[in-house]
Amino acid sequence: MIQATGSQKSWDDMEEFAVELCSVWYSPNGDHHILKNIDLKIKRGTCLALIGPSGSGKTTLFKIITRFLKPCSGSVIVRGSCGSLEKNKVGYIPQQLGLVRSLTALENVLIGAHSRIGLAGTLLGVFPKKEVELAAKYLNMVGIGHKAAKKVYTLSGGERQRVAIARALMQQPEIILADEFVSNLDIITAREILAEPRSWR
Amino acid sequence: MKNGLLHTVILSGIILYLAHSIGFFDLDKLAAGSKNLITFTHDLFPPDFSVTEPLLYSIFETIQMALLGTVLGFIAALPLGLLGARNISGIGISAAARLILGGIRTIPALLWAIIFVVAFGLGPLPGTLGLAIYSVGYLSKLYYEAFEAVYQEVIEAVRATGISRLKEIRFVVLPESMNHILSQLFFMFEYNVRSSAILGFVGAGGIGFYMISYIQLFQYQRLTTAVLLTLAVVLVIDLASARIRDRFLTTS
Ligand SMILES: Nc1ncnc2c1ncn2[C@@H]1O[C@H](COP(=O)(O)OP(=O)(O)OP(=O)(O)O)[C@@H](O)[C@H]1O
Ligand SMILES: [Mg+2]
Repeated sequence: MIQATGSQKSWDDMEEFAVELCSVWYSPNGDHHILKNIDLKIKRGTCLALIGPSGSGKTTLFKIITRFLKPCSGSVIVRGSCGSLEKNKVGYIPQQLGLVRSLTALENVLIGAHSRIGLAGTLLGVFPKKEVELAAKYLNMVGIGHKAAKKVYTLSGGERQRVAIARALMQQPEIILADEFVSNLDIITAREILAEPRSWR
Repeated sequence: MKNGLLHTVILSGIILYLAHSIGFFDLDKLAAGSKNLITFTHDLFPPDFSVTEPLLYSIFETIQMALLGTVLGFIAALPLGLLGARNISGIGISAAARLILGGIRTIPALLWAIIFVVAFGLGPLPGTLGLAIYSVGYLSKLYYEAFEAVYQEVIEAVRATGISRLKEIRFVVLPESMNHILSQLFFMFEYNVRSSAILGFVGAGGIGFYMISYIQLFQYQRLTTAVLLTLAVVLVIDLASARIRDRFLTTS
């Protein structure tokens, strides 16, 4: 069980919270609850780290927020800056990263842009030049621009993590949910990356 | 331990009884059969190579049927496999697709060939259609299983980007399962080359037609030639297909 409460403000100022969970209970099979009465409010523009031991339900909580899991009870609200949030504005970096291993790093990053691009050319693998440049820019930003054309299965764990970050940035999201954000990185790289979220904005 | 011994004894008893009822312990019958086998083997040799040329033509037809049947089956199996995958089409649609595919699979290729011979007459066309529909049944099953094996987190991460379902298939599901798709396609082709040799038995084209004729006319030495040629061709195709497969498959 985890308990987390983000920085709190007055209740009338609701719009300021990007993520708002109210007494969320979750159980995968109906009896044993992994999440018990979770209240979580995350203010727009803040950076919140959720810490808990292995098996405490962090990943489960992420999946509740991304709506891949439905809570047994309680409410989940995810808001954009202008009211309700479209799905493509949440960048989700799962614990195992969720990259397509047989595509290149660049193609993986471009997946973040698909909701903006039309269907026609893309199905054949042709992308707007603007988006390709943007993807290359994000890859450079996370420090692996030189690996853009490499297939993901040839990359190291830390390099893959950066590709996943670049893909999330490519969505130009309002919210980034990153599960076990630095688990694949050495301590120095981890510090670098942890310092970065501020620079992404 | 004691229980295990008892189970073994009972199981052996059942198997022995089944063997007996099929006629495995009918010594007279076995002796007569063995004698016939020896005579038959004797009649097979030496092979009569005078028929090599027409046989080569018909073996070419067999390969043609196998290739075309596999390709047609593959083209239909991709979308049907997608429909059958629960993580892509949802519970309802996938259950319906699986039911239909299961129905197709219960009918063996030979029976499909007979059905199509009745409908379209003799020749390679009914054979090709039979192989195609048989391939659809099996490839689709192999494919929906491959699609469902795509790691759930990949699909979740990508769905969070708001990608359309069609693009999700094109950029995530297909690339992630490409190895399976290709290796099962090659497997299906090898399998179809073998089974298309037999389709000629019911008049559905290919070398099987010659084989059954030689058997009915007691021309066993020609039969040997047909079997040897089939064997050689199947071996060559197996080797070539293994080569191509290794080329295509990426390690990951
Ligand atoms: N589908 C499921 N069915 C049953 N139990 C589950 C299921 N998913 C997760 N659990 C259980 O819920 C608990 C929390 O899992 P979760 O993955 O959320 O932990 P976590 O905090 O992310 O751990 P870690 O730090 O190791 O990633 C674990 O004890 C796990 O065994
Ligand atoms: Mg976890």
